[in-house]
Amino acid sequence: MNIVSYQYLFFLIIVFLCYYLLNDRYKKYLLCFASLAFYAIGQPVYVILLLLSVSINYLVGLSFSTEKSPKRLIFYLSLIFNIGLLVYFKYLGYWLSLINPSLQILQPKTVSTLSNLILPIGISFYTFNAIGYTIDVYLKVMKPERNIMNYITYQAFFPQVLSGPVARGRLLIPQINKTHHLDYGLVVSGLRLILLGYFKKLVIANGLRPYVDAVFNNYTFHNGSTLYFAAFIYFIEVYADFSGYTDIALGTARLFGFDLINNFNKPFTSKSVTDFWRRWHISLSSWCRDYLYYPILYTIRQYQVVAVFAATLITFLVIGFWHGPRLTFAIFGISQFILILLELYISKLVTIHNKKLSIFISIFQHVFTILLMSLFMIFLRLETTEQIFGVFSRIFTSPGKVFLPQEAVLLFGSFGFLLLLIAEIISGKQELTVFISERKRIVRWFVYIFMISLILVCGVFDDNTFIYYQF
Amino acid sequence: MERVQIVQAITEIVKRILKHSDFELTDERKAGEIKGWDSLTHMVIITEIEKHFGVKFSFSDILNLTNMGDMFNLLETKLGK
Repeated sequence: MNIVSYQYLFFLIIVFLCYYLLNDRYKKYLLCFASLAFYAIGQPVYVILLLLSVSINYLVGLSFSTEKSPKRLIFYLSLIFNIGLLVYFKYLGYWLSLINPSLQILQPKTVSTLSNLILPIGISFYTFNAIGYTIDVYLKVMKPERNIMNYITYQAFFPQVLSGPVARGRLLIPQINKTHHLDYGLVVSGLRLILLGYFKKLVIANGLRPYVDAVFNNYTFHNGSTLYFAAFIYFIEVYADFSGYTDIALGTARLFGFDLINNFNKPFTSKSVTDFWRRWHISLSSWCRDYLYYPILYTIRQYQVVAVFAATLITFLVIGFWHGPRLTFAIFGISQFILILLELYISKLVTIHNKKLSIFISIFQHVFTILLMSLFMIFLRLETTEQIFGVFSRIFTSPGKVFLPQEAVLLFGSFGFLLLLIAEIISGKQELTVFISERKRIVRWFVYIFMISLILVCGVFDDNTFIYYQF
Repeated sequence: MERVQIVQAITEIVKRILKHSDFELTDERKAGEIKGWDSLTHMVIITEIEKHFGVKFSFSDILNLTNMGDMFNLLETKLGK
């Protein structure tokens, strides 16, 4: 079910009303059934796969609390199962087709519209939820969840099952076990987030998409300056699209009293690539840091600097490949690894003591980081290395006048983003909706009405699939 | 070994690796709050602490460290206090 649809809003209202009208002991069951129903409406066949994954991981978690069970063997088998599931559905067909093109039939199609979808939607997210849970239970960071319905809700919680955020068992399961009563403040906060999410998706992301598609789908007709500009616009589009989804997911969860991990912390205010990865897709990058980077680093720590290199490289390769099986994603991961190591090296060589120069350097760092990341976002947009090479070579060899369409295609999306960026900068370290909530009532309502008006007047409602559904 | 001695020894290790002494290792102090303490130096500091005290930390030992107080407690346990 698409979360930008009347169907979803209707579903949400029904679940919300039932949740708070029900007796406390039935609330958890409602969330479980709602999560399965939500998934089933989108992809009825793949509910079986979801239930298989849930059942296996639930039993694995329980087995770790049994005295005589071969815990280490079960743990490794569960990793093989979870990773195997992902590999089979997401990677195997494509990789086999590279060896033998006739095997391409095995490759599930990535999403362009939901009706064409074959890849089990959300499999990356719910599988990572499962792996994190089994690792935490195995390492005794948390106790296994004994109630199967609670566990289903954890792994397949409907606000986040399609495109995250990636959940952590130790954070979400205690909330599932808690009884939630109607909290006016949380409901308002949730609605505020949902409104912001729809604004980002319908005004900014959908508003900018036609330009990005027009340029990159015909990149051979455009000069380097246009391609670079389109890359920058694509960067904004991905941010608005994905953070818009995240806001809707977080807001939905908050309506029921749940606090999910936020995926973004104002990434357009990043001052380095390292800083960017602390602000972008936080649930995934922190998951990889805790379950990949640190375990690898500490296992081979006697190799010191080499250990850091290896752990960082593997982590970013996984982040790259998490997006999909294409070589372009692996190159994306490797590029981020190289940039982060360069930054680490430069930071140890250079210390600026002059205060005025520090301010100038700081501004330069912010701007340079965004310009640099715009370039590398191309790896997420284009499908082949040939296309990437073509675009990159034009960017660096064919400057020219930037193509801007005559129609106001970019106007509303750009305007919306500018407002968003200014608001994010003004709000400082505060979450934007918290910042809004602390303004005077007249200011708050002006913001709400302004956003709703922009959605109704400038919003693009044509294509409401989210970019990260395909990952 | 007394806790005070553990704190002193770790302070000397951190000073040596970070090449400055602009910090105080209290129980509540977190690694990221100290200038120069990043993922690379964190790993070096952990390794030096292991060598100095003749102990070996497991991965779950390190995973459960949230501040310096946790590190001091862990060492007291490992050193059999």
